Amino acid sequence: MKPPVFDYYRAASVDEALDVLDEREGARVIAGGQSLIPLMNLRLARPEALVDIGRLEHLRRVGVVDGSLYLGGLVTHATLCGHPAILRHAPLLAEAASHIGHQAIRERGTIGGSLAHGDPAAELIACCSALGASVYLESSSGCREVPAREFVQGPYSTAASHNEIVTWIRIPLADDRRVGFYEVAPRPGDFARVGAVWCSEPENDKSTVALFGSDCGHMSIELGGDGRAADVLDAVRASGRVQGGLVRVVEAAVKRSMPTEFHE
Amino acid sequence: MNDHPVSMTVNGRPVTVTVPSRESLADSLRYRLRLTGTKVGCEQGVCGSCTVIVDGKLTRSCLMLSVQAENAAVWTIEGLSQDDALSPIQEEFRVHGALQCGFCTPGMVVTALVLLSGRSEPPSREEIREGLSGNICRCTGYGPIVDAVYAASRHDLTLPYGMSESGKSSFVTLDSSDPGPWSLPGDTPPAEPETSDRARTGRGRGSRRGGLGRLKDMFRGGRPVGSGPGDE
Amino acid sequence: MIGSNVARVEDPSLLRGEASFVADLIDAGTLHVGFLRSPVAAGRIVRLDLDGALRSPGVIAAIDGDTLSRFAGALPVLHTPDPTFVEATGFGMSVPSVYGLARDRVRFVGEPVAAVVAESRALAEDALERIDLVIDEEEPVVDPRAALDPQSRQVHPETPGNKAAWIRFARGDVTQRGIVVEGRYRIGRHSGVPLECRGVLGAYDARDDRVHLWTSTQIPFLVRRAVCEALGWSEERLRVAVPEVGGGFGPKANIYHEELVVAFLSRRLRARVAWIEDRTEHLLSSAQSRDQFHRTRLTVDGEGRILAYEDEFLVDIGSHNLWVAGVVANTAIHGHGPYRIPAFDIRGTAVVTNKAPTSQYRGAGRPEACFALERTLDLAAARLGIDPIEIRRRNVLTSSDLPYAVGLPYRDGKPIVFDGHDFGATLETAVRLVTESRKRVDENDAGSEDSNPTGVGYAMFIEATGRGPYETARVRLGADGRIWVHSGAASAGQSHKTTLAQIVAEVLSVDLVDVRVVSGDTDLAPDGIGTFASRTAAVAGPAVHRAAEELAKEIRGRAARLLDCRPEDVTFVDGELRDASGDRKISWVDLAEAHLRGGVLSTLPFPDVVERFEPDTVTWVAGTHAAVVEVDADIGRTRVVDYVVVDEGGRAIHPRVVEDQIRGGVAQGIGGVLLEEFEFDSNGQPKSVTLAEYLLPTSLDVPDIQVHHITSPSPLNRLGVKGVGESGTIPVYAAVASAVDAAFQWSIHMDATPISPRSLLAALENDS
Repeated sequence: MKPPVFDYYRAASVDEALDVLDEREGARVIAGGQSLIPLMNLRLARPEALVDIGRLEHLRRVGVVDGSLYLGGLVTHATLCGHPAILRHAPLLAEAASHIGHQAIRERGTIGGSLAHGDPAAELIACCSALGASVYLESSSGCREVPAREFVQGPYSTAASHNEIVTWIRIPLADDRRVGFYEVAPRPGDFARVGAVWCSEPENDKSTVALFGSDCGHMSIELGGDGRAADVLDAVRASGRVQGGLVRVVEAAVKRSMPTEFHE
Repeated sequence: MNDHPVSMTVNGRPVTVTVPSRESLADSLRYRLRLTGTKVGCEQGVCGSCTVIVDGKLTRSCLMLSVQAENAAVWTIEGLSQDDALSPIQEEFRVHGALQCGFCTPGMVVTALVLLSGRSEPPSREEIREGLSGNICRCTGYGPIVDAVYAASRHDLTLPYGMSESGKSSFVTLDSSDPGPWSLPGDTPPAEPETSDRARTGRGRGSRRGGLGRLKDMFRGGRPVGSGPGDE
Repeated sequence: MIGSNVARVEDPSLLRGEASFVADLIDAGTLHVGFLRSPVAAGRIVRLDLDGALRSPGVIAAIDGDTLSRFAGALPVLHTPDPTFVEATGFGMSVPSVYGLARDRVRFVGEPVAAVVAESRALAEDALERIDLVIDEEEPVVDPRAALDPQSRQVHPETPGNKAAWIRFARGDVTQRGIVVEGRYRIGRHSGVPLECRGVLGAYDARDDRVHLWTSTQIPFLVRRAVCEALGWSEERLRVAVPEVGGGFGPKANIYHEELVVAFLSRRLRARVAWIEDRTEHLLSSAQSRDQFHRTRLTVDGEGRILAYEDEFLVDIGSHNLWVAGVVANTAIHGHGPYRIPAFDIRGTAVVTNKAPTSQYRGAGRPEACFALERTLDLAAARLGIDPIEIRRRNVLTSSDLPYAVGLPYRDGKPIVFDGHDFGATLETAVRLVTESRKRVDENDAGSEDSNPTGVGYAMFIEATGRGPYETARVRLGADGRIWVHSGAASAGQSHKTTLAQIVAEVLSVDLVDVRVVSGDTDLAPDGIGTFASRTAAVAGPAVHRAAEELAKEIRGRAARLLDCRPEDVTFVDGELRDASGDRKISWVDLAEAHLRGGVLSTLPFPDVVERFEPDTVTWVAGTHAAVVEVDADIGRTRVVDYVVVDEGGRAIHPRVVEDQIRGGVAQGIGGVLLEEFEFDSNGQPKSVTLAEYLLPTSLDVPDIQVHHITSPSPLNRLGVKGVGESGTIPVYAAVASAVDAAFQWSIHMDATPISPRSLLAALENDS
């Protein structure tokens, strides 16, 4: 299908983008468009206007400052897969991003877009939760920082207001971090049905397991430093989100994503 | 606000098309520029038949609005073979029976080209299968396509028309790391991270000034990346 | 030339992206059609107001079913079996009327209800949203078993009891004493889903008041007949031509609402009008397939030899199937399998439901029949403790049995005789090849930690190919000195431009490049049937051959005048025409030019011959597939890691094309057995409406496929050719299911497709 009619603004600065969002209630941000345009091509998303922030080059930057890795919201999945700073400081993101669609999708899809879209199957959302990342939202009222774990509130529903843009993601670095990733998808590159991300920081005596997937949605489970897979599975069962044969699949994902030092 | 002029280069030639904002790059290439080699199979970015190259990157032209292609360098299947000669990849497709109905072929060839370009070593058959896994073929069962790309990778690939003299592709860059002054320690000091004026000045201030403000302060101090503790 | 792997004529323009598929024919002056489709599975149209659409920007016209009914009747059914067959099998059918746009009632989600013509597709879709459509919903019939219940609502008034067709294919006494195994099987609903969706472009010719209809079809001549019949037009008024087609596989061998409507609109508006299907429309409304239930009962003796086989099957054909006779007959007939079956009783019923219409898809009933029989054979093997290979070995038809008369007629009324050589040889060869292949893998993988269960499964098949009634070929000398070939066939990727040219090139000793095949055009050939049912090589091939030979006779007469010799002394050598001594020769261009510009032959028309080939009956192919699967039992994922095909078929015009057809067929079979399904909820709402839900196999889902072709020339045509389009798909479902069972040492019995992670995990759960 073809999308319905909409107006198009190409923002030359974040300010310009925020102006349009403030002025037009029916306006939405577009970056890579790899999630939004498919919906518009089904006429399921029908924004009256699109504000294209794709030319805001400064939001494509990646850098380490003061113990945190900063990613601009426009950093693409392809960049996550290969950028030296990512491979060095947050290889989990590289692993996760390599499961997103295929090369062409990864070249345009962005981490900011993934967060803002809030898909239950989004790997990067789970990674950000597990890593204890935070999301910077800019609006005309200012800039605020929201912990990633609190950012996604339900399927396709996030803490961002209509007139806010995801501009940066901050990932605190940790030397001793141990991470693991596993996803179950019908075919490689498909939306995950069930997936798990482990992140443990022994020095801080804590671990986080973040689940994702179209069959179970986003769920974060905090464990102590010696967290076990069994604890994770207990928490999952207790949540009531996963039933029947799916439990076995979640179990497999949790165990297979577990960093090797861990115990079942 | 619905007739946007879009200027881009397509297959090495500058063009300007005037399009409604909702028109996809695929449709503009096909109907305005009559470059019908690029196909449309799903409009969801799943089948790969619309694959083109934009600014050196593989792109699903059904998921890109033409207006987003302003100033872009676009290459389609038509740009890959000049005059009558087929490029080496196309020749290998022919030799190996890698096409039957031919509908997936433009997308496959473009994807294969980018998959093979700029590599230091030829890929394995498994890597080829993975690289092509975003392109659906309904006719061949993929075996012959993998054979063709594998054979093509063993060539000294003469890259098609549009290559710069240095041999480095002027339109295909596979360096997937985004250039940016923050990239690595030791790079030239970066420009300041920009935040919006309002966020910076706090007009209509929200909950907190947040980490970005701090970031800005650090850069005002002229500290280059990598000078913090823990960096080499 | 025949039998050699020449470079394909089609390739250069396809590789360059220059070849034109129907959507590529759209130009700036083409108007676009959008269809409003029913959002519900069953109901009565209470209000349909086009006013909002007519006022919508860029709209030229709009039409609904009521208005169309003043100009168009129903689409005709496409196949009625021979009376001999009908009598032998008690075949019967009730055919519902299908109209271009719904009249009064809607019967499936996606059924076209109204059409809008606008300056662009996007504007047409905007207009569709402004149509006021109100439907009084009725309870849809969704379960085909429930559809047979006398209390069930009727989908169509013309199909009483929702029964669309019925058949009984039986011989001998099935009440034999022996060991009985029973099975219940289901093949899920899926279909060809070609990469190119459908499309129809009607170009109005004002001078002759004709419509030139370009459509992505496999059956242009049948489209012409059906559309003209429905519109009351003479067949002179409509030219149907096929551009490049991006895959057909059966769903494009059908007549569609949109073809009728676009042809009508083109003439009505005196304009160039196009409808290009998008993927959602395709998944909603293009013909679906399979969707069968089988209940089998196999009686064997203590050694596993078949004494009797019974199968009761049900086909859910959705809201209609113009080929229902074909699907039902194919399923029944191919329930026989390549075995000695002394007594059999196969009874089937086709039912209508409020789901998308169906048609024939690669195999068209044969895969379903094969699945039921092969799975039941595996059950018997397990029951008796016999190896699945051994039980087949004991039953398969070998050289001492063949040719083998089944004792009943095929649907062309002719007695079924399996005209093969040794079907058992395909089994032995398949076992050998897959065993060798597995050994190589084990050697390479020594020391790998892979601990996923793996299994090998076998399935055998039989396939009727080359169905008549006939195919037509026209072969002529062109003004350019080339030979032009026009037949009723219509390629969707099967390499006809090459294979049919090979035949002519061999007869006339010319280069392949000097033979131009332009098929699928009702203006260029006087008559034809089309490409489906594995019939082009076996029926169009001999027709082209015959026409080329007849053309050669005419050419000799003409050339003799230029060579000043007797016609019988003219020889065709190396792209030239020579007299007996070889001293005098002319080129084909010389011959053509003699017909032009006042040349010696210019008072004669160009040599131009039409021939028809009517095969006596179908010609049979059989074989064995071996599938190797690896299963990740924790997440229920099955991967096919190796695959061997051994088929006994006819002489290959182009051996690589034969192999490629088989590989493509296997890939679709893998999709059907593991990934693809059209699911509907209890309200008849389709759940698979994008390619993110309807999963097609990718390069990571299909392994390298070994194909070993054994040639057993067909006795039914001089080329010795048999069909090959479908055989790759037919046994895949059974072979893979068998392999999955084998991976778990036959403790499970996969009886339904697709074998999804969910169904596999459930089976493993039940087992434990």
